Amino acid sequence: MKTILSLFFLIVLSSSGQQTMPSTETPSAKQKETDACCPATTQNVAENITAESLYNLTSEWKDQFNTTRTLLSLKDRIQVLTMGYTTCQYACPRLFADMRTIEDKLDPQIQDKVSFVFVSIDPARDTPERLAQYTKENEIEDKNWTLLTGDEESVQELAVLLGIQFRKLNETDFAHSNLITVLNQEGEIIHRQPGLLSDPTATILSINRIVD
Amino acid sequence: MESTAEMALIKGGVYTPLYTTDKTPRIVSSFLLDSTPVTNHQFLEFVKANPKWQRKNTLPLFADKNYLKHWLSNLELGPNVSPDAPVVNVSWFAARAFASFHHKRLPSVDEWEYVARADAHRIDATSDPEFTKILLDWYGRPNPKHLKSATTFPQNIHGIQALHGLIWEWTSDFNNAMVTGESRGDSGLDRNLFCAGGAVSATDVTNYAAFMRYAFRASLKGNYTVENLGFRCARTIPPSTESKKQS
Repeated sequence: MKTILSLFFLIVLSSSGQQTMPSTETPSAKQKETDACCPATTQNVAENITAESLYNLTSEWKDQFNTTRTLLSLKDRIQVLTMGYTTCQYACPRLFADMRTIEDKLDPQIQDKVSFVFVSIDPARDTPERLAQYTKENEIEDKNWTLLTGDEESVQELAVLLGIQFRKLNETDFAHSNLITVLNQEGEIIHRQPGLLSDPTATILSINRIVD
Repeated sequence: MESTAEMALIKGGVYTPLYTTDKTPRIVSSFLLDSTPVTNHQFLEFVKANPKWQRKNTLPLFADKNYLKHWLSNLELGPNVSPDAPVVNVSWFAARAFASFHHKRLPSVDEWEYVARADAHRIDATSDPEFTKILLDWYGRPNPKHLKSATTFPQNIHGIQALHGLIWEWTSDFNNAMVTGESRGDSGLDRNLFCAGGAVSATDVTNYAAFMRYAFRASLKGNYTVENLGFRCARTIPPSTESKKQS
Protein backbone atom coordinates (compact mmCIF):
# COMPACT_ATOMS: atom_id res chain seq x y z
CA MET A 1 0.00 0.00 0.00
CA LYS A 2 2.69 2.42 1.02
CA THR A 3 4.52 1.78 -2.22
CA ILE A 4 1.47 2.54 -4.25
CA LEU A 5 0.99 5.77 -2.41
CA SER A 6 4.55 6.99 -2.73
CA LEU A 7 4.57 6.08 -6.38
CA PHE A 8 1.33 7.88 -6.76
CA PHE A 9 2.60 11.11 -5.27
CA LEU A 10 5.63 10.90 -7.46
CA ILE A 11 3.35 10.80 -10.47
CA VAL A 12 1.37 13.75 -9.23
CA LEU A 13 4.51 15.71 -8.53
CA SER A 14 6.11 15.00 -11.84
CA SER A 15 3.08 15.91 -13.84
CA SER A 16 1.93 18.96 -11.96
CA GLY A 17 4.70 20.21 -9.76
CA GLN A 18 6.51 22.39 -12.25
CA GLN A 19 5.99 26.03 -11.68
CA THR A 20 4.93 27.98 -14.66
CA MET A 21 6.69 30.82 -16.30
CA PRO A 22 4.88 34.08 -16.75
CA SER A 23 3.28 34.21 -20.14
CA THR A 24 4.47 36.80 -22.57
CA GLU A 25 1.23 36.77 -24.46
CA THR A 26 -1.52 39.07 -23.39
CA PRO A 27 -5.12 38.62 -24.39
CA SER A 28 -6.57 41.32 -26.55
CA ALA A 29 -9.31 43.67 -25.50
CA LYS A 30 -11.59 42.12 -28.05
CA GLN A 31 -11.45 38.80 -26.26
CA LYS A 32 -12.56 40.42 -23.09
CA GLU A 33 -15.77 41.53 -24.73
CA THR A 34 -16.61 38.03 -25.80
CA ASP A 35 -16.48 36.65 -22.30
CA ALA A 36 -19.96 35.64 -21.46
CA CYS A 37 -19.10 33.69 -18.40
CA CYS A 38 -17.05 33.47 -15.33
CA PRO A 39 -17.40 36.80 -13.57
CA ALA A 40 -14.64 36.21 -11.08
CA THR A 41 -11.76 34.84 -13.08
CA THR A 42 -11.31 37.52 -15.65
CA GLN A 43 -8.16 39.18 -16.84
CA ASN A 44 -7.93 42.88 -16.40
CA VAL A 45 -6.48 43.62 -19.78
CA ALA A 46 -6.77 47.37 -19.54
CA GLU A 47 -5.28 47.74 -16.09
CA ASN A 48 -1.79 46.57 -16.91
CA ILE A 49 -1.75 43.87 -14.32
CA THR A 50 1.10 41.40 -14.23
CA ALA A 51 0.44 37.77 -15.07
CA GLU A 52 1.14 36.60 -11.51
CA SER A 53 -0.92 39.29 -9.81
CA LEU A 54 -3.83 38.29 -7.59
CA TYR A 55 -5.48 41.44 -8.89
CA ASN A 56 -6.38 39.49 -12.03
CA LEU A 57 -9.34 38.36 -9.95
CA THR A 58 -12.27 40.63 -10.58
CA SER A 59 -14.50 39.44 -7.76
CA GLU A 60 -16.35 42.17 -5.88
CA TRP A 61 -16.08 42.64 -2.14
CA LYS A 62 -17.49 44.93 0.54
CA ASP A 63 -15.20 46.53 3.06
CA GLN A 64 -15.89 47.65 6.63
CA PHE A 65 -17.23 50.96 5.29
CA ASN A 66 -19.73 49.06 3.14
CA THR A 67 -17.88 50.21 0.02
CA THR A 68 -17.91 47.83 -2.93
CA ARG A 69 -14.42 47.22 -4.25
CA THR A 70 -12.29 44.79 -6.21
CA LEU A 71 -8.92 43.50 -5.09
CA LEU A 72 -7.40 45.85 -7.65
CA SER A 73 -8.13 48.68 -5.23
CA LEU A 74 -5.34 47.26 -3.07
CA LYS A 75 -2.76 47.88 -5.82
CA ASP A 76 0.29 50.13 -5.39
CA ARG A 77 0.73 49.42 -1.71
CA ILE A 78 2.33 46.43 -0.08
CA GLN A 79 -0.43 44.31 1.44
CA VAL A 80 -0.16 41.94 4.37
CA LEU A 81 -3.16 39.68 4.04
CA THR A 82 -4.86 36.93 5.99
CA MET A 83 -8.16 35.06 5.92
CA GLY A 84 -10.29 34.13 8.92
CA TYR A 85 -13.62 34.98 10.52
CA THR A 86 -14.39 37.54 13.18
CA THR A 87 -16.35 35.32 15.55
CA CYS A 88 -13.53 32.79 15.74
CA GLN A 89 -12.62 32.08 19.34
CA TYR A 90 -9.46 30.11 18.90
CA ALA A 91 -6.85 31.04 16.36
CA CYS A 92 -8.07 34.17 14.64
CA PRO A 93 -7.41 36.51 17.56
CA ARG A 94 -3.86 35.15 17.62
CA LEU A 95 -3.60 35.41 13.87
CA PHE A 96 -4.76 38.99 14.17
CA ALA A 97 -2.18 39.56 16.88
CA ASP A 98 0.48 38.23 14.51
CA MET A 99 -0.63 40.81 11.94
CA ARG A 100 -0.36 43.53 14.59
CA THR A 101 3.11 42.31 15.51
CA ILE A 102 4.21 42.73 11.90
CA GLU A 103 2.66 46.20 11.84
CA ASP A 104 4.45 47.18 15.05
CA LYS A 105 7.81 45.87 13.91
CA LEU A 106 7.81 47.70 10.60
CA ASP A 107 10.26 50.49 10.21
CA PRO A 108 8.24 53.71 10.83
CA GLN A 109 9.49 55.09 7.51
CA ILE A 110 7.82 52.35 5.53
CA GLN A 111 4.65 51.98 7.55
CA ASP A 112 2.80 54.28 5.19
CA LYS A 113 3.64 51.99 2.26
CA VAL A 114 2.14 48.90 3.87
CA SER A 115 -1.49 48.00 4.46
CA PHE A 116 -3.20 45.12 6.18
CA VAL A 117 -6.07 43.07 4.81
CA PHE A 118 -8.37 40.65 6.59
CA VAL A 119 -10.64 38.63 4.30
CA SER A 120 -13.57 36.85 5.88
CA ILE A 121 -14.34 33.20 5.10
CA ASP A 122 -17.74 33.60 6.76
CA PRO A 123 -19.78 35.85 4.45
CA ALA A 124 -23.04 34.91 6.15
CA ARG A 125 -22.11 36.49 9.47
CA ASP A 126 -19.24 38.82 8.65
CA THR A 127 -21.32 41.64 7.21
CA PRO A 128 -19.70 45.04 6.59
CA GLU A 129 -21.32 46.20 9.85
CA ARG A 130 -19.78 43.32 11.73
CA LEU A 131 -16.39 44.06 10.16
CA ALA A 132 -16.68 47.70 11.24
CA GLN A 133 -17.48 46.58 14.77
CA TYR A 134 -14.48 44.26 14.67
CA THR A 135 -12.13 47.10 13.77
CA LYS A 136 -13.43 48.97 16.82
CA GLU A 137 -13.02 45.98 19.12
CA ASN A 138 -9.46 45.55 17.92
CA GLU A 139 -8.65 49.27 17.74
CA ILE A 140 -7.59 49.14 14.12
CA GLU A 141 -9.90 51.79 12.77
CA ASP A 142 -7.06 53.53 10.98
CA LYS A 143 -6.80 53.55 7.22
CA ASN A 144 -4.09 50.91 7.01
CA TRP A 145 -6.57 48.12 7.58
CA THR A 146 -9.04 46.77 5.06
CA LEU A 147 -11.53 44.12 6.09
CA LEU A 148 -13.31 42.41 3.21
CA THR A 149 -16.33 40.19 2.85
CA GLY A 150 -17.54 38.63 -0.40
CA ASP A 151 -19.69 35.81 -1.71
CA GLU A 152 -18.72 32.18 -1.16
CA GLU A 153 -17.42 31.72 -4.71
CA SER A 154 -15.09 34.69 -4.42
CA VAL A 155 -13.84 33.55 -1.03
CA GLN A 156 -13.19 30.05 -2.36
CA GLU A 157 -11.33 31.41 -5.38
CA LEU A 158 -9.09 33.69 -3.35
CA ALA A 159 -8.40 30.91 -0.84
CA VAL A 160 -7.33 28.61 -3.66
CA LEU A 161 -4.94 31.22 -5.05
CA LEU A 162 -3.45 31.86 -1.62
CA GLY A 163 -3.27 28.16 -0.78
CA ILE A 164 -5.57 28.55 2.22
CA GLN A 165 -7.71 25.59 3.21
CA PHE A 166 -10.91 26.08 5.10
CA ARG A 167 -13.94 24.02 5.92
CA LYS A 168 -17.15 24.85 7.69
CA LEU A 169 -17.44 22.64 10.76
CA ASN A 170 -20.88 23.66 11.97
CA GLU A 171 -23.13 26.70 12.05
CA THR A 172 -20.62 28.85 13.90
CA ASP A 173 -17.15 27.50 13.30
CA PHE A 174 -14.65 26.90 10.55
CA ALA A 175 -11.38 25.06 10.40
CA HIS A 176 -8.91 27.05 8.34
CA SER A 177 -5.23 27.50 7.58
CA ASN A 178 -3.42 30.12 9.58
CA LEU A 179 -1.47 31.90 6.93
CA ILE A 180 -0.27 35.46 6.45
CA THR A 181 0.62 36.40 2.87
CA VAL A 182 2.61 39.42 1.72
CA LEU A 183 1.70 40.91 -1.66
CA ASN A 184 3.93 43.39 -3.42
CA GLN A 185 2.63 46.60 -4.99
CA GLU A 186 1.61 44.62 -8.10
CA GLY A 187 -0.40 42.10 -6.11
CA GLU A 188 2.09 39.26 -6.51
CA ILE A 189 2.74 36.90 -3.63
CA ILE A 190 6.24 37.53 -2.31
CA HIS A 191 6.15 35.86 1.09
CA ARG A 192 4.10 33.48 3.22
CA GLN A 193 4.15 33.24 6.99
CA PRO A 194 2.41 30.04 8.06
CA GLY A 195 1.31 29.12 11.55
CA LEU A 196 0.53 31.02 14.69
CA LEU A 197 2.96 33.05 16.77
CA SER A 198 5.55 32.62 14.06
CA ASP A 199 8.71 34.68 14.09
CA PRO A 200 7.87 37.64 11.83
CA THR A 201 11.51 38.44 11.02
CA ALA A 202 11.45 36.87 7.56
CA THR A 203 8.16 38.59 6.80
CA ILE A 204 9.53 42.00 7.82
CA LEU A 205 12.63 41.36 5.72
CA SER A 206 10.53 40.46 2.69
CA ILE A 207 8.72 43.77 3.03
CA ASN A 208 11.91 45.79 3.53
CA ARG A 209 13.40 44.17 0.45
CA ILE A 210 10.67 45.40 -1.88
CA VAL A 211 10.51 48.89 -0.41
CA ASP A 212 14.16 49.53 -1.22
CA MET B 1 -22.55 15.64 -29.80
CA GLU B 2 -23.98 17.71 -26.99
CA SER B 3 -22.17 20.74 -25.64
CA THR B 4 -22.68 19.52 -22.11
CA ALA B 5 -23.53 16.18 -20.51
CA GLU B 6 -26.92 14.80 -19.52
CA MET B 7 -27.52 15.21 -15.82
CA ALA B 8 -28.84 12.62 -13.40
CA LEU B 9 -30.77 13.38 -10.25
CA ILE B 10 -28.83 12.37 -7.17
CA LYS B 11 -31.26 11.78 -4.35
CA GLY B 12 -29.83 13.33 -1.21
CA GLY B 13 -29.07 11.44 1.92
CA VAL B 14 -26.87 11.10 4.92
CA TYR B 15 -23.19 10.46 4.59
CA THR B 16 -20.28 10.32 6.99
CA PRO B 17 -17.26 11.93 5.42
CA LEU B 18 -14.00 10.10 5.66
CA TYR B 19 -11.91 12.83 7.20
CA THR B 20 -13.52 14.21 10.28
CA THR B 21 -13.17 13.23 13.90
CA ASP B 22 -16.67 14.20 14.80
CA LYS B 23 -18.53 11.34 13.25
CA THR B 24 -21.63 13.41 12.79
CA PRO B 25 -23.12 12.34 9.49
CA ARG B 26 -23.65 15.14 7.03
CA ILE B 27 -26.71 15.69 4.96
CA VAL B 28 -26.11 15.90 1.23
CA SER B 29 -29.09 17.58 -0.42
CA SER B 30 -30.46 16.26 -3.68
CA PHE B 31 -28.62 17.70 -6.66
CA LEU B 32 -28.01 17.12 -10.35
CA LEU B 33 -24.75 15.63 -11.57
CA ASP B 34 -23.41 15.12 -15.09
CA SER B 35 -23.66 11.43 -15.86
CA THR B 36 -20.27 11.57 -17.62
CA PRO B 37 -17.17 13.76 -17.31
CA VAL B 38 -16.76 16.72 -19.65
CA THR B 39 -15.27 15.57 -22.97
CA ASN B 40 -12.57 17.04 -25.19
CA HIS B 41 -15.24 17.99 -27.69
CA GLN B 42 -17.33 19.82 -25.11
CA PHE B 43 -14.32 21.65 -23.75
CA LEU B 44 -13.23 22.62 -27.26
CA GLU B 45 -16.64 24.17 -27.88
CA PHE B 46 -16.23 26.07 -24.62
CA VAL B 47 -12.81 27.51 -25.48
CA LYS B 48 -14.07 28.50 -28.92
CA ALA B 49 -16.76 30.55 -27.24
CA ASN B 50 -14.40 31.84 -24.52
CA PRO B 51 -11.08 32.78 -26.10
CA LYS B 52 -9.49 33.67 -22.81
CA TRP B 53 -9.58 29.97 -21.92
CA GLN B 54 -7.66 29.01 -25.06
CA ARG B 55 -4.22 27.68 -24.34
CA LYS B 56 -2.40 30.71 -25.72
CA ASN B 57 -4.41 33.17 -23.64
CA THR B 58 -4.53 31.69 -20.16
CA LEU B 59 -2.62 33.23 -17.31
CA PRO B 60 -0.22 30.97 -15.37
CA LEU B 61 -2.08 32.02 -12.24
CA PHE B 62 -5.16 30.17 -13.51
CA ALA B 63 -3.67 27.31 -15.55
CA ASP B 64 -0.11 26.02 -15.59
CA LYS B 65 1.89 25.48 -18.75
CA ASN B 66 0.61 21.94 -19.31
CA TYR B 67 -2.95 23.19 -19.72
CA LEU B 68 -4.58 21.22 -22.58
CA LYS B 69 -1.14 20.06 -23.65
CA HIS B 70 -2.56 16.88 -25.19
CA TRP B 71 -4.39 18.90 -27.83
CA LEU B 72 -2.68 19.54 -31.15
CA SER B 73 -3.15 23.30 -30.97
CA ASN B 74 -5.35 25.98 -29.44
CA LEU B 75 -8.42 24.91 -31.35
CA GLU B 76 -7.55 21.46 -32.68
CA LEU B 77 -7.65 18.18 -30.82
CA GLY B 78 -5.48 16.42 -33.39
CA PRO B 79 -5.62 12.80 -34.56
CA ASN B 80 -4.52 11.26 -31.26
CA VAL B 81 -7.20 12.76 -29.06
CA SER B 82 -10.69 11.32 -29.05
CA PRO B 83 -13.41 13.99 -28.92
CA ASP B 84 -15.47 11.63 -26.76
CA ALA B 85 -12.76 11.00 -24.20
CA PRO B 86 -12.85 13.06 -21.01
CA VAL B 87 -10.88 16.28 -21.15
CA VAL B 88 -7.83 16.30 -18.87
CA ASN B 89 -4.98 18.74 -18.29
CA VAL B 90 -7.50 21.33 -17.13
CA SER B 91 -7.07 23.49 -14.05
CA TRP B 92 -9.65 24.05 -11.33
CA PHE B 93 -10.13 27.61 -12.58
CA ALA B 94 -10.77 26.39 -16.13
CA ALA B 95 -13.15 23.66 -14.94
CA ARG B 96 -15.03 26.19 -12.88
CA ALA B 97 -15.27 28.58 -15.82
CA PHE B 98 -16.69 25.81 -18.04
CA ALA B 99 -19.29 24.96 -15.41
CA SER B 100 -20.24 28.58 -14.94
CA PHE B 101 -20.60 29.04 -18.72
CA HIS B 102 -23.13 26.21 -18.74
CA HIS B 103 -24.92 27.54 -15.65
CA LYS B 104 -23.58 24.65 -13.67
CA ARG B 105 -20.97 24.36 -10.95
CA LEU B 106 -18.42 21.85 -9.77
CA PRO B 107 -19.64 19.24 -7.27
CA SER B 108 -18.37 19.60 -3.71
CA VAL B 109 -16.13 16.95 -2.18
CA ASP B 110 -19.08 15.76 -0.08
CA GLU B 111 -21.34 15.48 -3.11
CA TRP B 112 -18.72 13.67 -5.15
CA GLU B 113 -17.81 11.24 -2.38
CA TYR B 114 -21.47 10.63 -1.59
CA VAL B 115 -22.06 9.42 -5.14
CA ALA B 116 -18.69 7.65 -5.37
CA ARG B 117 -19.71 5.14 -2.70
CA ALA B 118 -22.19 3.56 -5.06
CA ASP B 119 -21.87 0.60 -7.36
CA ALA B 120 -24.50 -0.65 -9.80
CA HIS B 121 -26.79 -1.97 -7.08
CA ARG B 122 -25.93 -0.26 -3.81
CA ILE B 123 -25.90 3.37 -2.71
CA ASP B 124 -23.01 2.53 -0.40
CA ALA B 125 -20.75 -0.30 -1.48
CA THR B 126 -17.69 0.84 0.46
CA SER B 127 -17.98 -1.85 3.13
CA ASP B 128 -17.53 -4.49 0.42
CA PRO B 129 -13.80 -5.31 0.19
CA GLU B 130 -14.26 -6.30 -3.45
CA PHE B 131 -15.49 -2.79 -4.31
CA THR B 132 -12.48 -1.15 -2.65
CA LYS B 133 -10.12 -3.63 -4.27
CA ILE B 134 -11.34 -2.80 -7.76
CA LEU B 135 -10.66 0.89 -7.09
CA LEU B 136 -7.22 0.24 -5.70
CA ASP B 137 -6.35 -1.93 -8.67
CA TRP B 138 -7.18 1.01 -10.88
CA TYR B 139 -5.16 3.44 -8.75
CA GLY B 140 -2.16 1.14 -9.06
CA ARG B 141 -2.26 0.97 -12.85
CA PRO B 142 -0.36 3.47 -14.99
CA ASN B 143 -2.36 5.95 -17.03
CA PRO B 144 -3.43 4.53 -20.38
CA LYS B 145 -2.14 6.33 -23.45
CA HIS B 146 -5.59 6.88 -24.83
CA LEU B 147 -8.53 7.50 -22.55
CA LYS B 148 -11.77 5.73 -23.35
CA SER B 149 -15.13 7.40 -23.55
CA ALA B 150 -16.98 7.40 -20.24
CA THR B 151 -20.08 6.15 -22.01
CA THR B 152 -18.44 2.69 -22.24
CA PHE B 153 -18.54 2.43 -18.42
CA PRO B 154 -21.41 0.84 -16.48
CA GLN B 155 -23.86 3.12 -14.70
CA ASN B 156 -23.91 3.16 -10.95
CA ILE B 157 -27.23 3.07 -9.10
CA HIS B 158 -27.60 6.85 -9.57
CA GLY B 159 -27.11 6.59 -13.34
CA ILE B 160 -23.60 8.03 -13.12
CA GLN B 161 -20.78 6.65 -15.27
CA ALA B 162 -17.02 6.46 -14.78
CA LEU B 163 -16.61 8.16 -11.42
CA HIS B 164 -13.96 5.49 -10.91
CA GLY B 165 -11.63 3.81 -13.34
CA LEU B 166 -11.12 6.52 -15.94
CA ILE B 167 -9.84 9.83 -14.55
CA TRP B 168 -9.64 11.81 -11.31
CA GLU B 169 -12.03 14.71 -11.03
CA TRP B 170 -11.93 18.25 -9.68
CA THR B 171 -14.29 19.29 -6.91
CA SER B 172 -15.33 22.81 -5.98
CA ASP B 173 -13.76 22.68 -2.52
CA PHE B 174 -10.80 20.38 -3.23
CA ASN B 175 -8.70 22.65 -1.02
CA ASN B 176 -10.84 21.97 2.04
CA ALA B 177 -9.68 18.48 2.82
CA MET B 178 -7.24 19.52 5.55
CA VAL B 179 -5.13 16.49 4.84
CA THR B 180 -1.49 17.30 4.52
CA GLY B 181 -0.85 14.24 2.41
CA GLU B 182 2.28 13.24 4.26
CA SER B 183 1.08 10.79 6.84
CA ARG B 184 -1.49 8.12 6.57
CA GLY B 185 -3.46 8.89 9.71
CA ASP B 186 -2.59 12.56 9.45
CA SER B 187 -1.77 12.71 13.14
CA GLY B 188 1.27 14.76 12.25
CA LEU B 189 -0.82 17.73 11.18
CA ASP B 190 0.70 20.83 12.72
CA ARG B 191 -2.19 22.24 14.66
CA ASN B 192 -0.75 25.70 14.62
CA LEU B 193 -1.14 25.75 10.87
CA PHE B 194 -4.85 25.26 11.15
CA CYS B 195 -7.49 26.83 13.29
CA ALA B 196 -9.46 23.87 14.69
CA GLY B 197 -7.15 21.62 12.71
CA GLY B 198 -7.60 18.84 15.24
CA ALA B 199 -11.22 18.51 14.25
CA VAL B 200 -10.37 17.28 10.81
CA SER B 201 -8.64 13.97 10.36
CA ALA B 202 -9.34 10.46 9.26
CA THR B 203 -12.15 8.40 10.74
CA ASP B 204 -11.79 5.39 8.50
CA VAL B 205 -8.34 4.60 7.25
CA THR B 206 -9.50 1.20 6.08
CA ASN B 207 -11.08 2.94 3.13
CA TYR B 208 -7.73 3.39 1.52
CA ALA B 209 -9.13 4.23 -1.88
CA ALA B 210 -11.02 7.19 -0.49
CA PHE B 211 -7.97 8.20 1.51
CA MET B 212 -5.96 8.38 -1.68
CA ARG B 213 -8.53 10.67 -3.25
CA TYR B 214 -8.36 13.02 -0.28
CA ALA B 215 -4.59 12.95 -0.32
CA PHE B 216 -4.55 13.62 -4.05
CA ARG B 217 -6.87 16.61 -3.67
CA ALA B 218 -4.67 17.97 -0.91
CA SER B 219 -1.68 17.84 -3.24
CA LEU B 220 -3.35 20.02 -5.86
CA LYS B 221 -3.37 23.74 -6.45
CA GLY B 222 -5.98 25.63 -8.42
CA ASN B 223 -3.78 26.19 -11.48
CA TYR B 224 -2.41 22.65 -11.67
CA THR B 225 -3.16 20.54 -14.70
CA VAL B 226 -2.63 16.80 -14.54
CA GLU B 227 -2.87 14.31 -17.36
CA ASN B 228 -5.44 12.14 -15.61
CA LEU B 229 -7.45 14.87 -13.93
CA GLY B 230 -10.67 16.15 -15.49
CA PHE B 231 -14.08 17.09 -14.12
CA ARG B 232 -17.82 16.85 -14.40
CA CYS B 233 -20.40 19.45 -13.44
CA ALA B 234 -23.20 19.60 -10.91
CA ARG B 235 -26.21 21.82 -10.42
CA THR B 236 -28.16 22.80 -7.35
CA ILE B 237 -31.85 22.04 -7.51
CA PRO B 238 -33.93 25.07 -6.56
CA PRO B 239 -36.01 24.08 -3.49
CA SER B 240 -39.33 24.41 -5.31
CA THR B 241 -38.39 22.05 -8.14
CA GLU B 242 -36.70 19.30 -6.17
CA SER B 243 -39.21 16.72 -7.28
CA LYS B 244 -38.54 17.27 -10.98
CA LYS B 245 -35.82 15.30 -12.63
CA GLN B 246 -34.48 17.74 -15.20
CA SER B 247 -33.50 21.35 -14.88
